[in-house]
Amino acid sequence: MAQEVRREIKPSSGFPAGKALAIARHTFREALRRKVLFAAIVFAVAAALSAWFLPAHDYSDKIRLVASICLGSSAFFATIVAIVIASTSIPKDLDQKLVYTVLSKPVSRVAFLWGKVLGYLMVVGLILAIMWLVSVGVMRATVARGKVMVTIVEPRGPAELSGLREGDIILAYNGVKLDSLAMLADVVSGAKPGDLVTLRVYKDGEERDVQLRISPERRGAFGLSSATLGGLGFDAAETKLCADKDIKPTELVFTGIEGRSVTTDPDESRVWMFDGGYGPNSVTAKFSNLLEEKLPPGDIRIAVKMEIRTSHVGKHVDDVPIAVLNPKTGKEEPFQHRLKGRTPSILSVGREYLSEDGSLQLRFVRDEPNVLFAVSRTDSFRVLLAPRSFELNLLRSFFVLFLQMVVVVAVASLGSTFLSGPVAMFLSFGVYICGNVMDFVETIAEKLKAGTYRIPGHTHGPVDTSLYEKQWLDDVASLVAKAYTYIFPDFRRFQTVESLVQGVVIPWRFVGIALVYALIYAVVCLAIGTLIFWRREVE
Amino acid sequence: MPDYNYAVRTEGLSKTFFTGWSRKRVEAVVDLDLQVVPGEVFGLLGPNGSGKTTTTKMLLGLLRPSRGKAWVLDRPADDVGIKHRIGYLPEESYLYRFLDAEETLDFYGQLFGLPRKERRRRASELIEMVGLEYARKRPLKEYSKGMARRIGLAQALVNDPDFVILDEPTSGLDPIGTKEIKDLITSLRDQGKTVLLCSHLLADVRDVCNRIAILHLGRLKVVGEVTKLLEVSEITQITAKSVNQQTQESARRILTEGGADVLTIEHPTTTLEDLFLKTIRGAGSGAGSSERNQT
Repeated sequence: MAQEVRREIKPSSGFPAGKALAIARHTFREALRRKVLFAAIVFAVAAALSAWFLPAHDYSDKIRLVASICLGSSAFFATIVAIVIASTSIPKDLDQKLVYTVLSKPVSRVAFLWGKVLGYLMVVGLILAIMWLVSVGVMRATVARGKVMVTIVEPRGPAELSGLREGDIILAYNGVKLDSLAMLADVVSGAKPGDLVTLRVYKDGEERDVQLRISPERRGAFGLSSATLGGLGFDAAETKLCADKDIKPTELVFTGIEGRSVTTDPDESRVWMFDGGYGPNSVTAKFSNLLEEKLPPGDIRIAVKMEIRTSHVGKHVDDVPIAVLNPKTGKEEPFQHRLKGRTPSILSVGREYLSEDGSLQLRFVRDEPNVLFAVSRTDSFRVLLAPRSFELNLLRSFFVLFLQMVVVVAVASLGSTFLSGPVAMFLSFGVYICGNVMDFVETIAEKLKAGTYRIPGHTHGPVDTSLYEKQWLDDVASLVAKAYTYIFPDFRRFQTVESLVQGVVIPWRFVGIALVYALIYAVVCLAIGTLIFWRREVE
Repeated sequence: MPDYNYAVRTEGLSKTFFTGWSRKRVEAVVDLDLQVVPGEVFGLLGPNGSGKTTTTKMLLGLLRPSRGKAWVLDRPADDVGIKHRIGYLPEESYLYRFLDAEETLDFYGQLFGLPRKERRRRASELIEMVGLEYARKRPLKEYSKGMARRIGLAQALVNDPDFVILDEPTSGLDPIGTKEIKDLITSLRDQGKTVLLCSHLLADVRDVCNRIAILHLGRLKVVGEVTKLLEVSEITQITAKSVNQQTQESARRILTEGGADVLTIEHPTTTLEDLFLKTIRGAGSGAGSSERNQT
């Protein structure tokens, strides 16, 4: 009889990933065949390329401009494409009744929705990948102008007097075109003190020649080797594009005369070594995290920037002795050269002073009564690292941007499960804007809570107490504002343009937080969307 | 031997739509009890708006019934798994216009989880079957309505289904195409598949269906075997060729002499059309149209 033979019917599995992938690929292909995507890509690329032609005050300005325009145009066009596609795709399929042929197949609503979302993300990922490549290209083209950039100019030194500034590019040395930083170091070490050299420099949008005299007191020997070009520090131009280029000391220890311990105000950003009495007399910069693999080969290069002053009475001294701790003997050894007053300078410290656990210790002592110097807690001492590739920093930035797009796509997809395409689009743009004014809303929430918006403590005349009684209104409003910050996505968690233009490596921690935030937000949105879409009838 | 008792079984299946801001009630399907048994070609007839498409959508889980229940291949209609064995051709070819014929079939094959090799084989088989070899690389947006219908039919069969739901399969097709579709339905039946055919084209239905049901205003009016429904036992119709006026007269005389009551002698009409119109008109004068737009 009929019921005796039963063929096995494939059970519908929990999350049929294969079918979701098929839907995703299909959505991706559909987007690729629509011209609107190409229009967006063409515009985004054009915007990024235009950055190259924009005038800029100096070279590092230009690099920053290019970086921010590349990232900005990518974000702008990716957001538009993400919102348009994610808002309209499902409503369009419903409108044109394309879902009839899809949902009448063994495709659950879950697989359909999540497959769609995956497809949108593939499209956005493609745009961002293209934009990353274009940005790298544009930024490389900007950098290709010169490989060596001035990073430190000693105040009142010959370089500054010749008009060189931080951010200028050194194109040639005595007519020899410079291809790399190492090449400059080579030719400089071949020069004699007192020689007059000609640098071809790119600054303020044009090339010009600058003459410099090799400073006699800085030649050879110990330390300060890269400052030999008349108080000029230089670095590979790419350093400007990428950050993590230095390591700051883990600890600054201030000591008084004869090693007496002193306390300094931790809120004070600059600390003066000024006195033999109660104040600090020397500073020790302790680095404890100089891992071998992070450091470039050769001597350890340390940029030192401090303010040295001398009194006008007595012997004119404007330098400070330097001592470095030898980890083998456990004793401090003095540098042959003292830190000259016209900092910043770059010290070269031999590799042998680095202990096995990666620590290095330098001490700067005030040894003349008419000298005083100030140390910044944040940027007086920096161990310079080899420049990291800016492409990778840019890649992190684009990855974070992609995470932001995950949130945007999730919001738009949620809207598309119960709204028509245009309405879902407006909703998504609205949420996008709301998510970008978080600072403003948080401020309001705090002020309301503190009662700042109510009449402040009047003491004169009759006080309208009814206003005070309405504190609960403020509390409610504050709660609403607070809820706002939880409901709408906080796009500040995806802002990387500042780090990028400052040349600071975007920390993994930041990326991780953005990742977790984006995933949680997107999953919640899509879970709601799934519930709605699950119940939805296909008419 | 099929492994299911009923291809379709519904009990009191009803669907009420509420449309517009006024939430106006529209009863699309009312208390439908229907059984489609294995191996038959079942015709669901009815004028436009009689609830045929709404019924098929409920059978496919695209719509949820307001009341009542529906089973397909002995499983609840909203079971996603059962769709592995169902093929569906919607009333219009709702297909992705940017794909070509091969890509279309490949995509739908993926939705059934068919392996790549199998998908390729099925795609070329089906394209050949529906006669679209010459257009297999053309995007569907360039297809004529008849071509779209053919590729729609091909996608309905991509999983080699046991049960096929065809909603107006011949709409937009020329007479040759219509004939081909009818032959195809017959061959599906010969392969032991069950077919549910929704149509208002009576000639098509009569030629291929074993049983029919007529829906009107969402209500089941008539259900039964085509041959029995159309048989009117007390009337005998004589069909002959090349009958002149004289022969007609003598035939009439012979019949009258034999005691028959000759009603008419004329060119025959499509008898199903008669039945259909009679059913609809009968319903229209009764409980019909006033019910439709109840508020």
